[in-house]
Amino acid sequence: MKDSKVDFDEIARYLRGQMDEKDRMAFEEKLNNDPEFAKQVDLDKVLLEGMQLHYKSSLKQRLRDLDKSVSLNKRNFSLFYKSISIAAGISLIFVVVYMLFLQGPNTEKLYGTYFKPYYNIADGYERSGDANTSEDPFKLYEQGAYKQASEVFETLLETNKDDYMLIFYNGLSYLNSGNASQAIGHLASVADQSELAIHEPAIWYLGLAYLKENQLEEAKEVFQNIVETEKSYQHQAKEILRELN
Amino acid sequence: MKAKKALEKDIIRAIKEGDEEEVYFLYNQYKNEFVQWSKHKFSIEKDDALDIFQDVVIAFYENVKLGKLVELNHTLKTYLFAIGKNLIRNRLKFDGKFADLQEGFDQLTISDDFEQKIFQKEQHKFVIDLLTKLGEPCNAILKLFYFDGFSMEAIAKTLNYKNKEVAKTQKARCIKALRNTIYQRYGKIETT
Repeated sequence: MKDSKVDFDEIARYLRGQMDEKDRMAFEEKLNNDPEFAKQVDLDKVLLEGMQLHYKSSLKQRLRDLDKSVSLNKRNFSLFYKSISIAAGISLIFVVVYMLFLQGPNTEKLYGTYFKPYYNIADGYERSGDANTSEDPFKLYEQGAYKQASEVFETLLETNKDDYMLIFYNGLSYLNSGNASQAIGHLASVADQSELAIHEPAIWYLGLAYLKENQLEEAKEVFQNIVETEKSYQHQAKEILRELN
Repeated sequence: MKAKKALEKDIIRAIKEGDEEEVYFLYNQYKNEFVQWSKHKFSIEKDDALDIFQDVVIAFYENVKLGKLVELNHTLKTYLFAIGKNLIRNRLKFDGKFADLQEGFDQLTISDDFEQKIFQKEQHKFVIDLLTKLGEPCNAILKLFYFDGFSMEAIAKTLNYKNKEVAKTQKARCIKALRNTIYQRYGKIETT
């Protein structure tokens, strides 16, 4: 078998039914008349199917992991909800000062490498206020309609300005839609509330928002804090700090 | 409704162009409903329902990536639940068959077809083992090209190759190494 002449991708195209009629006919003719070629197609089929099975099972494992992390977050979330009712009435103003606009050549790339949209853990979350007035912003967030989600979050926040779940996901919506400067204020106010379950992801995304805005000193400070206090995302934070320094 | 349709179209496009992230959203979006639905309709337990729904979104992902699904004639939910229904039926059927085999052991005859299936399974396992041990960059390149359906340009960009030709050469090397190992094991064919 002089296999270098037979392209694996051509065989893959045939096996996946992606060949046009003319190529397919020629291919099948060869298949019927050349046993060596047929053998090769057989083995390439095994390889192609094996790849599909392998990558499918890795994806399945990631979905399982996702379930695990969501149920973990949900547990934390009920704690969070208790603490928020205790903390009701307390409002905090966080002033963000934009002092340094340092140019870093690779911050965009770093941001792109580490930024992944945070999952919607607010499943079944009953928001305060009138549920009939608008679309569910968490649904919109889940669907990736971040701009629309922000609009609804803003409206809801007018009457529920201490609802940190709304503030957090509003910040994330801004960040997801590329508006990092708007995201910073929201994420910072949640990051400040250490008793909340969403405190840790809020800090992480705040760091990423600073990174995206090229506010490197602030970003470093946030990531440093994550590493020092051994919070979630500490490994990623360490990697980013190494790149930034 | 129009907005919803547009969103669903976006999901297909996003999956077509993007990576697995979209699948995670899809999974989270409908899984609770699916769990309830399969419990109510087929008395399936939660863990089994989740397991099945994972296969559902993976099948959806594959169909979009392989170009088998370009447009939805029904809502996305209807489509996903229809796949789910088939998977549940297959699973129930399989369980039933298995019970039959246990009862009447003398009915069990090993056919050629059965042997062929065992052999095929063994071959797949061999390939999967190879892939599990496969290091980078082969693992990433092969996944992005054959599973995620990315173009070579996109792969070159994602993995920081100089251009698509360099990425292509690398991919060819990975495939050649795998092919050789498989041929040595099953084909007795020498490749150059």
